[in-house]
Amino acid sequence: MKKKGFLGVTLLTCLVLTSACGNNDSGADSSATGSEGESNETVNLRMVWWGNKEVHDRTQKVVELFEEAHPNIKVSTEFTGWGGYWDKLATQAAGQNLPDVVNMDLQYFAEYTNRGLLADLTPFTEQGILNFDDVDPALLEGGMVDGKLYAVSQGTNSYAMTYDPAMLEEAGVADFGPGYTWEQLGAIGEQVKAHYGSGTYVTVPQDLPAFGFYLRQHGAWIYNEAGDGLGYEGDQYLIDFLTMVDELRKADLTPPPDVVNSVQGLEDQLIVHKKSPFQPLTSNEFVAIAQAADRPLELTIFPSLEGGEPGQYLRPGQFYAVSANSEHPEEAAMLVDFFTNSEAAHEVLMGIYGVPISSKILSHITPLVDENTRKTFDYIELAKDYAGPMSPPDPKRQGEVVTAYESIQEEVSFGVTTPEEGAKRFRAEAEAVLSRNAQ
Amino acid sequence: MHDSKTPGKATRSKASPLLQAWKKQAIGYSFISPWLIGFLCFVIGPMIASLYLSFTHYDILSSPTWAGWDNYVRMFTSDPRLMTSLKVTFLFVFLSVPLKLAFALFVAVLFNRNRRGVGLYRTIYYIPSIIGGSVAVAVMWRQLFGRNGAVNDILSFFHIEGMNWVGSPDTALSTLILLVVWQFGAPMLIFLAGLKQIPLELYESASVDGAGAARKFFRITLPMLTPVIFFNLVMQTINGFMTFTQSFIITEGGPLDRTLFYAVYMYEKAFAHFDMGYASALAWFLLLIIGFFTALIFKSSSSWVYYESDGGK
Repeated sequence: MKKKGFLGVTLLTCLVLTSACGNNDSGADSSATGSEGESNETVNLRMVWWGNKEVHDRTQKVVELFEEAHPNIKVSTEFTGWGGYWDKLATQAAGQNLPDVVNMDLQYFAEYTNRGLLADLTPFTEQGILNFDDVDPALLEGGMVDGKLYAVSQGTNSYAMTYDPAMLEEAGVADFGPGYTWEQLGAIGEQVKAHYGSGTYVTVPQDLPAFGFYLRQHGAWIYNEAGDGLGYEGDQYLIDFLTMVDELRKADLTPPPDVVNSVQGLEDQLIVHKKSPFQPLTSNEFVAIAQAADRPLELTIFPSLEGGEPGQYLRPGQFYAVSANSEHPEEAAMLVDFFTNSEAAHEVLMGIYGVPISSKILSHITPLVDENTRKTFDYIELAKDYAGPMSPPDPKRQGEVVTAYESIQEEVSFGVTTPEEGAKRFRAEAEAVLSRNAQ
Repeated sequence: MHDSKTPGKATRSKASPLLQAWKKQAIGYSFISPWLIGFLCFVIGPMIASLYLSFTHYDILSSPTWAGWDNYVRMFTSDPRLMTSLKVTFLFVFLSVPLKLAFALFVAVLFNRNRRGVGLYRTIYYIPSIIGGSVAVAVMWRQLFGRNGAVNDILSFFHIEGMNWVGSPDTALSTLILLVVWQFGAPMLIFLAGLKQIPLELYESASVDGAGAARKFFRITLPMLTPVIFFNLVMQTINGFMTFTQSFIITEGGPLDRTLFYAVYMYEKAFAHFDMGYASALAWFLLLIIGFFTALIFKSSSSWVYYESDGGK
């Protein structure tokens, strides 16, 4: 009895403590409306992003520059790798404790805007706090929903095929360049194998984004518009896509699955070890892989489809967004603007997020960046000529769809499942997941 | 006499011993309060919360909505990957736990002799278990058994062609079992302590009767050690069901879901698919599984565990 009484008291104390914490939060929320009027008081902002050490160092320096320019604003920063970032952000969102400025990606953009977790930035654009005078409006579209701006792209990226011109030349591959087709990729594989022998491969795009790319070339898309089902009719597209890659693998032209599994991160890709002349990636990853390879690499577009539509599109890179629960959305918007328009900031960032969206900034830093970064800038110019309109942002629960695709693709590559079975199962599993979005 | 009839005094005399007893206990509780408050707030509290969440649809970002038994029904009707992960986990536990205990016992018997430097060896062999659960060892294992790892280098010395041990569906799980068996230090230490408790007279009289080493081991050491084996078996089984790091770091559940441990699958549901309600239901189901097997071991113990103090079975 007594013991229970004591446990009860302690449990109550806990409850009171936790609810007190909760109260603090909501108290701060309600005071937000009061503090919107400008004052000289110190404003504390929190900001969070993902990235590698280089991204961290440069972003931190930009934040310090911002603090120097605005002595009344203090910014505390948090930072993780991509892997832990979305766990962390989701947990903070659950606690209504999102930092004022958050990094956002197209993959999760819909999840956050659908639930009203991001602030509408349109009023700040109208007030001129966020200045897009030098920005092509098309580059803002990725961060917009129903004509309202929720996130500002920090750089433009696109899918890119990294290649090693010297390796291709040595294997006797002449004039490789934009406009090459999926079939030609196979033919190049033959040449590479003939020259370098078994153990050197061509790495072809085969993940879910690559299939999405292939679908775009056929005028379709992975998801339907409502985001509650698949967007392409029939299973033939996926059968063809899986078969195409599977045949290359059976001919020992693309790496077998246990070789693929042994790759540990971007810096360990086959191209780095000269075991493949290709590596599909997103253009902002190019600098890292070129540094790891330590020999001249180039970028070009993904394979074309003869008579097909453009699969390529320009993709906003890391977004910065302001969270809806921010007490100081105005100051947060100022920080986002600083990242968009400050020359000093970009002299530090040097294109690490992709090609800056402001044309003024772009022309300012182009002469300053290193050779590999300039290659990515040039590449985006090239990709523009081959790009179609952007596909809609990924729907909710896309994570489960990705898992389903990856496990099927892996089974096909190990020869456990046929492309036909795989395509059928992907439809069944993806539809089952996505249909829950309709409720 | 009439004093005791006045109500005020009656209650006071009743309350004060109660209060004193309470005070006495309160001192004790206040001493353990750092642990107690931590336990209630960070263990019991979240457990109750997860029990509630297991009956909801909860994607972390928006507030949970009541789902009744939905999550539990889904587990058994429309989740083939859960069945895969259960199969993998059972296979892992049933293979790795006996192997690990046998190996730990073997090493403990070796170290039980009083040779010079045995203390140093004990320490060295215990090291893998200290760093065992850590990410660093998992990363090292991935390197050792990778395609270009040390294991293949050694094999190629004997002209055997290596393979990607952690990346092939046939060998991935065995590689992870090898890792946990290698981390035998904790049960080894407990075995060692158990071995020291066995009275030497038993061995001496067995020697006089002409018993050999093997006979002594099976007739004396093993029976006398059953309480320790029992304890180790329970602990290792519980740990085995909760294994996470090794699979998460080395194989990420793959290839072909062959190392998709229950805890890894649960993590994937919670944090990659934002399906926290379902993941909570999975967690409670795991608790039931572990509870069932622990109870089974306890039940069976009466027929194989020997306590000397009870005067036999």
